[in-house]
Amino acid sequence: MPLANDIKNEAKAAQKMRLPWWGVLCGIIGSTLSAWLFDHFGRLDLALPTLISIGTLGFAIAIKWKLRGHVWFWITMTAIVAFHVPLILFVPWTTKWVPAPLLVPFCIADLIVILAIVSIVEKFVESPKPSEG
Amino acid sequence: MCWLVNGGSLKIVSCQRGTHNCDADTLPETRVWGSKEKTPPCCSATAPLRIELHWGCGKSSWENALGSAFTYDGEGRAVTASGGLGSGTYTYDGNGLRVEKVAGSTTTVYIFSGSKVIAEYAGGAAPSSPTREYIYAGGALLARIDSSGTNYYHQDHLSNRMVTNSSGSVVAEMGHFPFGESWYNTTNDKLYFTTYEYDSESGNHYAMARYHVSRLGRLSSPDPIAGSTADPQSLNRYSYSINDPANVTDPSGASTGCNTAEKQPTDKSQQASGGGPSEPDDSDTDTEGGDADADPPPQSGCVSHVNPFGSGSDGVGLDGSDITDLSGGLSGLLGSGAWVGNVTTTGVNTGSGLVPQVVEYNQQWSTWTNGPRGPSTTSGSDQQWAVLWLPAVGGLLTPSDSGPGGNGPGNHNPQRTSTMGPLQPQPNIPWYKNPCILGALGKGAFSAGIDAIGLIPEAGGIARIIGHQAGYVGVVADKVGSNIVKAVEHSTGTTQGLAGLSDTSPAGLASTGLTVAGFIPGAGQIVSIASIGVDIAKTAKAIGKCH
Repeated sequence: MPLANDIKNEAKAAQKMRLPWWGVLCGIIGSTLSAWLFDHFGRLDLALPTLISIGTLGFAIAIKWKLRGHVWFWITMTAIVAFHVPLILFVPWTTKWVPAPLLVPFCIADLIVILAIVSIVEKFVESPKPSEG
Repeated sequence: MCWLVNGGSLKIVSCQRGTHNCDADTLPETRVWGSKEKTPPCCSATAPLRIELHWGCGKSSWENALGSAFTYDGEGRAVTASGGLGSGTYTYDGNGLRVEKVAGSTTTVYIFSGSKVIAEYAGGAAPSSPTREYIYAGGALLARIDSSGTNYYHQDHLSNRMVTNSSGSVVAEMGHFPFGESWYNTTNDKLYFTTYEYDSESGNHYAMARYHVSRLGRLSSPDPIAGSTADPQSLNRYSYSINDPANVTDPSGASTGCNTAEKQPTDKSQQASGGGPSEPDDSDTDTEGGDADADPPPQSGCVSHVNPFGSGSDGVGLDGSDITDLSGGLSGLLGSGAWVGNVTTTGVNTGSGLVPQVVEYNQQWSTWTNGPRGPSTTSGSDQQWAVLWLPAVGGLLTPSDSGPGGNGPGNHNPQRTSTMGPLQPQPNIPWYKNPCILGALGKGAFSAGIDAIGLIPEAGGIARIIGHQAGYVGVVADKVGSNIVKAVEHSTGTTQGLAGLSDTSPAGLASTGLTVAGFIPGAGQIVSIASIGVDIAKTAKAIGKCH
């Protein structure tokens, strides 16, 4: 299963990635301000899924950063972002507190799906042409 | 000012009868504030109710429908008003008094004596054929003479409340909310709010020098009298009666000189004048026996009255702590139930800018329908809501109960038609002793503390230890996890972990989630950062709501 191996390798690479302390600090400050904005507009329930989605997408882009020179990569990411919008808007998220460790699996699942989509597109776009064989 | 106005809504959010939760049967039910309410079937017996009130400053469709636009002449006088209700054209004399109003096809000409209207004529009517005439006793409106005969007005300290005919029978009753929105007005009398005339074509009140927009709780144009830095309240030249409509009236519409800082001689004779108009320079202030040192009266055109609820049981003004007192004071209306406190919901938006709040009233519905809504009126499905004290807005609120029982003769409870002044601040309590703030901080710290687990790169191991109480190990973390994981779980096997992952019970899923959390530390950091940010925002919001 080449696709499974690709994702496994990317997951291994992802395991080594860490946010520096200043990145964590900036992230918390930014998340707080964003949550305040969501609350200001009366949609605090969307704050957490939106922030997690943004973080996950950013994380996926960081993992696949080597593909940044390809137009198809950014088109794919744009499509994935567009797919997340209705997911955020129409799923009845709760404003009640849910411990972060319980949310991590959803984040990881989202990340794996994103990586899989990018890998599939990559296989499709970068497949060797018959003349090159 | 934010008051619950028509257009807000009232919603029953929970209802229990015995062990049966009625919510799924009939709730939530949302009713527009002011509408008649029928008894929810499930709650008709012995169900304590929890109700949710929506209020705020946001415009509702009702308010938008009433919105009107003014045009002004060179002297700042409104010459036209138009909006959802219609349009009007106004003409003034050299003294700035409105002497003619054209609303649709109806023209009304006003004849003044001083600042008081003494007669109204239809357009083109002969001098001997007035539409109606007014008679005053001092500053108070005494009677109106029109085609129906002579009708007598009876006022309280703010407004006309009742009209009787020459036989002494009550022919009309009027009541209004703090800033002049009509509460009940059985004959649509246009003189229901202080001394102002209600313009049905615009929804506003003619306040002599200006127009009062009751739905906004302010006047439409600046006070012609400039404010003073000695009294910062007076610098807001749009406010009505220094935002104290329960105690102060503004007959001339030109009284930003209501100076609460300067002491004026009292004039107890004004107390009897009720809702009668007065000249702007009459200095007709009145403390109704109040302590002038403690409560300086306003000056100039303002008429001061005592807040019927005084300053609360603790002497610091009316606030949430007075719920119990009010409940006792309103026992005749509220029956034998007891307030159980108020709870503020979080983060819900109705889409119209209204902020939902929850007030719990521990009252059986069957008792409620016979008690708190006032004297018994109707039976069956057409019931009325209770009077509610809302500390957050500092007012007694009640729906429009235009039925005969709620407002019939002898049923008037001054507390029902009165309103509170602005909330007074609580005594200075250090923030670190405020249980509300401490509670919010504690809750926030707990949430953020748990959420911060994911920030730790080895969180997978910690999370697994937490989740391990269910007896699962977690195959993924066991294979790729940190040394902590291996140390803790060394003696257990992968088989057990696989079994754990196949468990779809809530405990098993939780354990699995906690286990998988260690798979990609970066993902844990992302989720933790977002969660902590939301925790902080929620905590700040909760603290902000503490008094």
